[in-house]
Amino acid sequence: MRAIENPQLDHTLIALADPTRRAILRRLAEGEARVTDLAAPFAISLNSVSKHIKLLERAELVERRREGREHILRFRPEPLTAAQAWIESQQTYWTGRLRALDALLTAEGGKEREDE
Amino acid sequence: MNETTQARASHRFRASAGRGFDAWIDPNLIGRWLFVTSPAGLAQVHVDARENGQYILVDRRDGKDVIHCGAYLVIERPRRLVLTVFVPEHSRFTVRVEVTITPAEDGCVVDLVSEVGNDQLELRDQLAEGWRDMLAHLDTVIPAAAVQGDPQ
Repeated sequence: MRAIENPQLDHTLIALADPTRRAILRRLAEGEARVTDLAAPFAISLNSVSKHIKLLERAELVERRREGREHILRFRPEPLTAAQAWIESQQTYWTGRLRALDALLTAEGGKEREDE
Repeated sequence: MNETTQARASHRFRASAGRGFDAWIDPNLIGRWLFVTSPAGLAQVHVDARENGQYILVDRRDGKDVIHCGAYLVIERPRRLVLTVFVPEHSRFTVRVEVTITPAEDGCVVDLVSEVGNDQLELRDQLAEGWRDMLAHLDTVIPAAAVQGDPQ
C-alpha cells in the first residue's frame, strides 16, 4: 500500500474516519458556529464534542477564534485535498491488485476446485 | 461526506465466487498477489484464516521487508469478507477492507471498499501496543521455514 510520510495526512484521515466528526464538518461547511451551538444536536456530552473538535483542529480541518467568551469554529477544506488524493491512490492500488488477482486466477483456471 | 472517506474498486472475474473468495484466505494464493510487488511473490506468509484470526505478510522491496498485518473480522465464504490492514512502515492507522463477491453468469464480481476505521481513536493505542508485541515475537509466530524466506 502506498506510503504515508505526512503526519498531517494521518491526522486528516483519522479525523474523517468518525461519523460524529464528519457531521460536525458538514455543519461547519454551512457556516461558522459557536462550540455550544455545534454540540446541541449531538446526543453526547459537550466534553465529548470538545474532544472531537480538538481532533478536527489537530487535522487543521477546523479553525477556532475567540470573540469575548465565545469560541467560534470555522471549516477549513484545504486538508481534504490531500485526503482525497490518498483515497484515490487507494482506489488505484486496489484496482491494480484485483487485476493481478484476475491474472493469477486465470492462470490457475485449470486448477479450479468445486465450491458451493 | 462518508463517500469521500471510502476507496472503492470492482472487478469481474471468470473464476467462481468460491475461488475468488479463497484468494483472500488461502496462503498459497495470497502470497502470489496480495500486497505483492515482486514477481517472486511474498517473502513470508502467515495466515490464520478464521474470524478474528490474524495474518502477517512480508513483501521484500529492494532488500527491505515491508510488513502487512491485520485480522479477519468477517469470513462468510463465498460472499463476504472483512479484514483490517495495518502497514506499520507506511501509516499509523488501520484500514478496514470489505470484500463482497457476487456470482455472475461467467464467474463472479468482486466489489471492494477500503476506509480508515472509525474506531481509530479508541483502539489506536491498544492496537499499536498489540502489533508491537506481535511484531516483537514475529520469530516465534512464523514457522522457521517461512522466516528463512520460503513462501508458504
